[in-house]
Amino acid sequence: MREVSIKRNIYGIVGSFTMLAVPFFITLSSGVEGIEDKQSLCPFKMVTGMPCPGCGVTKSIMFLYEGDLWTSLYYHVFGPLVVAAAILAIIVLSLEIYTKKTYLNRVLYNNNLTYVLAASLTVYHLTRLIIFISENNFESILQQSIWA
Amino acid sequence: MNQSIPEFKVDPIIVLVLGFVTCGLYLIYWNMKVAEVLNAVSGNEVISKPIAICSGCCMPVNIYFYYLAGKECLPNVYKRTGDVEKDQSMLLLILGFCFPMVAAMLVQGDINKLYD
Repeated sequence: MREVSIKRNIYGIVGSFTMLAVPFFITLSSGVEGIEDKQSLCPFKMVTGMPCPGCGVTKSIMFLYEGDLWTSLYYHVFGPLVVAAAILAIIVLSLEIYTKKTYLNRVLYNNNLTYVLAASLTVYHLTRLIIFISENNFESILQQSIWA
Repeated sequence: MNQSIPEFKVDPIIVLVLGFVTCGLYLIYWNMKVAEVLNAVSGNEVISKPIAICSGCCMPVNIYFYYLAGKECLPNVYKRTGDVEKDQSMLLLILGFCFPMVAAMLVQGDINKLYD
């Protein structure tokens, strides 16, 4: 099993905090109105116009901050889970630094959880891709990239 | 020497092409398999597999994944393959941020040397 690495834990905390803070400050500065029409910041979406498995998480978190759970789930089903996981990561990693003990090893290195996550993310993204392609033609996909 | 290391040899170009063509779907599988290989090479659970799954394309998890791969795992791969040990974490971190498929291609290229 892993050992507590203070440097790695700090990176984990910073990453989790960033994940929560970026949507928060975007919501604070420009709000969620008209977010649908704004250019996505995902490099893959910018280049291809197609969504990647993580596309929509930031928007999902922004709507969650606004208290709109359904719109949050519409943008990405895993959005609320990401928020919960990031909060949990900040707490656990901080606790590990403080106590010098590791926690949640059973969860972090659980093969069954890995397969369930992989299968659910694959099915979700595949479904989203099919719906996206059926609802958009080549021109509208191109418009969602930076090439339009 | 390589008996305990799971076999995952794929042409790096295939990783790049499949990553793009499947819109990141392939990277979910690729990350899971690569985490298995890198953990086996390191002899330690450096990269958690559930975290690896989420790092397919999702920022900033993919940045964390490529940082760990470059900083803590690939040096162990170089040790086994006899290559010069180098810290690829910054390169992989930047590529992982901008183009995860390209970073995946580079990591796959290094991993393939384990099976030569």
